Amino acid sequence: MFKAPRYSLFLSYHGFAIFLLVSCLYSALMPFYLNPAHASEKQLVLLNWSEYFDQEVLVDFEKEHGIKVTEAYYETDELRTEMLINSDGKGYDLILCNGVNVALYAQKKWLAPIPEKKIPNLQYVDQRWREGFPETKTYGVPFFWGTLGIAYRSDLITKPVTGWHDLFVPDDMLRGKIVMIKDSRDLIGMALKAKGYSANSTNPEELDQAKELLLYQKPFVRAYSYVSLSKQSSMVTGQTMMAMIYNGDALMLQEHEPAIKFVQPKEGGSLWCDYFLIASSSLHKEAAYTFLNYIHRPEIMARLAQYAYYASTNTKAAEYLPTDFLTNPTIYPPKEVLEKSEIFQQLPPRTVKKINSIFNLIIQ
Amino acid sequence: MRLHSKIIALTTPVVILCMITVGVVSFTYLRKTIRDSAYGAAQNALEHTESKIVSLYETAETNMRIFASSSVLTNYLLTDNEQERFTLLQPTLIRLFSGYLKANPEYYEIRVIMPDGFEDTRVVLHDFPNITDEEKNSVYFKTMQNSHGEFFTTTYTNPDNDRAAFLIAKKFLLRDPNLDPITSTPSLRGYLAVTVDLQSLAQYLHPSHNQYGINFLITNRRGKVLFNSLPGKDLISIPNRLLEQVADHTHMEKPFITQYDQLSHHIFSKTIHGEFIILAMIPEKDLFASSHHLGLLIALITLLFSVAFSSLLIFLGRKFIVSPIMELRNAASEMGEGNPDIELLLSNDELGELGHSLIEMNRQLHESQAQIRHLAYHDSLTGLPNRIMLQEFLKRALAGAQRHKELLAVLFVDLDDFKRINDTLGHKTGDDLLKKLAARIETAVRHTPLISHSNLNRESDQVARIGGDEFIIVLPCIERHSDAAQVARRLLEALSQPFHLDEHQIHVTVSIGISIFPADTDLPDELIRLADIAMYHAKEKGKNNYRYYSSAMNTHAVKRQFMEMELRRALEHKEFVLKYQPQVDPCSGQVRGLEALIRWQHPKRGIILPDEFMALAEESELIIPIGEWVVNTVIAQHRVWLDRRTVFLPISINLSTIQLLDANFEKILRRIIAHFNIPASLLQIEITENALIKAGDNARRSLFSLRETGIRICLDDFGSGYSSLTNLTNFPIDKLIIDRGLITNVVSDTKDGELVSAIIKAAKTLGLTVTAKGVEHRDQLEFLKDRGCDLIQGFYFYRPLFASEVEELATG
Repeated sequence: MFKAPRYSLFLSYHGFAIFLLVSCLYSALMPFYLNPAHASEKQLVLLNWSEYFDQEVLVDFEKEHGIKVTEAYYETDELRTEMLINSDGKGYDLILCNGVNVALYAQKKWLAPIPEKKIPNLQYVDQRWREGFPETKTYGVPFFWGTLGIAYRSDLITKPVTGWHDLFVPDDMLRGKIVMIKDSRDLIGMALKAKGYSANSTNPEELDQAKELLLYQKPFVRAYSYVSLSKQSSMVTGQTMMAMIYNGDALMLQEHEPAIKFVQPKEGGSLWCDYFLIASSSLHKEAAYTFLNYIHRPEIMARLAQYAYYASTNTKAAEYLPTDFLTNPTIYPPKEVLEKSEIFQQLPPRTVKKINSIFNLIIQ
Repeated sequence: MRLHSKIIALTTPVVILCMITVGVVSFTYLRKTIRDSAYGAAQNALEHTESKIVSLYETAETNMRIFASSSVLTNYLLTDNEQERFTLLQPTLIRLFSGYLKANPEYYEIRVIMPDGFEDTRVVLHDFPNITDEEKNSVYFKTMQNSHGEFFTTTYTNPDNDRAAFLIAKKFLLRDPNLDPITSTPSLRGYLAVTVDLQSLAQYLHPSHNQYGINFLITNRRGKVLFNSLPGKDLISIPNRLLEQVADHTHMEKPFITQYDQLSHHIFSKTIHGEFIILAMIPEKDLFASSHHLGLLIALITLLFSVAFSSLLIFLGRKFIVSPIMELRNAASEMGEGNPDIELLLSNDELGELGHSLIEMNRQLHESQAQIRHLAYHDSLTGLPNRIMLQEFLKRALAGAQRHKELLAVLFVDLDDFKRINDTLGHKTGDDLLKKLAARIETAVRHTPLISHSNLNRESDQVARIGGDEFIIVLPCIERHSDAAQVARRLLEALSQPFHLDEHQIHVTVSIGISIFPADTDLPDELIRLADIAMYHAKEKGKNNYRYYSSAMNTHAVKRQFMEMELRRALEHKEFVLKYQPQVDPCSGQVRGLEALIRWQHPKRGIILPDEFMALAEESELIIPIGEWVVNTVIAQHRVWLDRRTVFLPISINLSTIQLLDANFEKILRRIIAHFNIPASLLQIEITENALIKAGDNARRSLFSLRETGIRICLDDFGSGYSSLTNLTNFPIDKLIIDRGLITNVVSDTKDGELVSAIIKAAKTLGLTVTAKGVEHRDQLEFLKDRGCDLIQGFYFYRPLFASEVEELATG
């Protein structure tokens, strides 16, 4: 989930600082909490997107289990990775991660395998998602899935927006009015889609074409970042008229400004799913299991889904979701859209290198 | 050459020379300054570039060390798994490198190269394609692999963009803290390489900085050209010779001068870090090209200034020298034309002084002229008007008298016996007398009251001195004839008083002749002449009186009587002089004889020829003493010449009838000959046929007698009047002299010519020598010569000469 308003950055750092303080305190008081199942079990640190997890659920969880969950935030997947590298995977108990990176994190020995039997509610999780990516079955608990598309101000843009083409080769009026996600896979992948190629293409020529397209678009782009989802969002003010956005987030914005519309590009977007991971360095693995089981209670998951406007991976949660939610094509895109969308695969290193290089060129 | 041109000729070369000197000096100085300035620019550029390169090295090394200490890069290099590396770690590294590139714009590329040459990470600020990821075959990589030391630097041409670049790389030797034991040696994990575009190094060598045409080159240590400030030239590497020279040249302050590209260049060089050579090459012709421009400018300025100064000097010269001189010249011209007053603006210098002198001179000239005019018109001794002025006055007075129908009188006043007085008292006293006399006459005339005239002051009377002791008084506007007499009387009265001169008391009388206009004549010269005649009459009548002219006066008789007196006086006072006319042999041109001719040097009238007085002399019998004098003089002259041995020519004397008939004549002649002891052959007698006939038989006897003495007899004027051939035989004639009159037209008149021919023939037949007198023209000469005339006498050859002249002729 990409929610990266400015204040969340502040918050994440703030959170991190709090975490440090807490962990210092924790380790200072370590002798008193030798029993992992003891009061030390009452703290969990979750590394997550901001405005993704309903805080009320955390409150309820704490009420019920006496475990306090604090969040630390990251802005982009890459930043999350960086944070983990810097700390070598330490300092967090739970990590909310997109499916693609799980295998790598596991490779880095940052992750602890999650025992199925410890989380009985996994039975409700769609198997498809459980095996959605390499190693996710071992290390991850699926959370939400969604798509990547385009949000735009239907009242300010007269020409109908139908696909990536409208975003990458914009009208002149959109000069400086576009915000693009600062993610290498998202940018280049969708540029490839716009060109009619696979988002997982390893073909250097195709990649070069994607690069050219992105370079062409660059003058129209106001910023390579994520639009804010608050009332002060630039999409609400109209400074941004079109943005690359995740489907649920677009609905969140719609709350503030009804004119904002989400479109699944006709070329097809990307399909993602994120997972909860447990850090191998975590000392509260039991509490983590408890948490993960808790959130997959169908009614809890329904609450979480509604909060974030995303489709949950928990099939039973549908029973607790309102019809309009379940029939919202943005949240639950039709089959034809899903068919055209692609899930990001782990690409070969040389391709990654090229993508990194292209990405760097675009964003500077 | 005109002064103006002289000034130009003087000033212009001097000025030009000065200006050229100045120009040359300033040119040399400026040229040196330009050269030094160019050197300075070159050295400056080199120094800046050097410091830039050095600092580049230093910062790169420093930054790389910083990188070395950062965990991002070390982690990266320690991660062998490419997947992990690229996916997880590379984005961060790229971001780090991007930031670094932005902070150091000279670096345009930063790369991580694996030990095997694989270009793992490459970050550039501006997209340009990467030719290849595999660097293991590149020259620079191989060199880098083989190099020792932590840092590696090289210059190379980046194959990706074909631009010269400078590479700084650091080797990363790391020990994996997780895997390797503490004691293991760090192994090479990769290289961090920063590429610097040489163009940025060369910013100080940009041509826009330099105005001296300096060609900057950066080469590597082998001479391969990395940067060339002259892009047109396709230079790969500098010649080896140049490379050697650079290596040899250690003195950094001065350039070395060498031939490069067929031109002479001044070259500064710097070698940096053993890797770079920077050259600043200043083409000599460009170095001096600007000085050529400068030279041209200076030449132009020199020319302009020369022209300006010359013009100025010339103008000043004109103004202060030539113009004043021209003014003076004009003034002088005007003075020459007689303008007495010259206006000149005179400056306070030498020319001004000259001007002053000129004006002074002019003034004096005018004074002199006035003086001369005065002298011309006045008598110097007495100050009275002279004859010229008198004549002009008289003319005007007559014209006036004519107009106003008035009478005019001329009084001719002559001093009685002045010569006597002069001889007795001496000339000085004589002059004093004349002065006093003149004054008295003037006073007398002025103060003669003429009763009839209302105007008592007779200013218009003119008294003039026209000769030695002769004065003329003109009385214009008299009312009656008697007024003149009144003046004359008054004059006589005034002069009756004695003159006191020195110690003498002298009594002087005058004779006055009076003529009246219009009674006697209306012509001015005539008036004077008639008054003169009247004066003679007065003299004849006893002197110290006055006489009016009357037509009864026989001028001739009066004159003659007077002349007789004069002749006598002439004899006494030795006023006669002899001249000798040579007689010339027409063929040889030699002088064969002389004819003695008498001349009268009258004190008043000048030279009087014998025609004018000889007749009178004969009539008055004065001829005798005169003749005696002639003979005496001739013979005495002979004596003198013989003594001097200068002249040995016979002299002919003209005899008159009277002399022939004079009984004493022969006696006297012989006496004188004997006295002086000269050969008689040196004497010849000329006598006219007429005289001979008049003399009669007695003459014949005398002649024969004379002839016996040895004297030759010549018959003069033969062919005029009575020419009898029998006379030739009757008389003892030796020579014949043809009449002048026949000679005159001997060529033009055939009759005269025939006659003369006949005469000559006859004479020759008779054995007589023939002389022709009065030969003036060549054709006469030729004629006579042809006819065999023996002697020629006339102006054609010689006029009558003084004795001294004859002597000169004979000796010279």
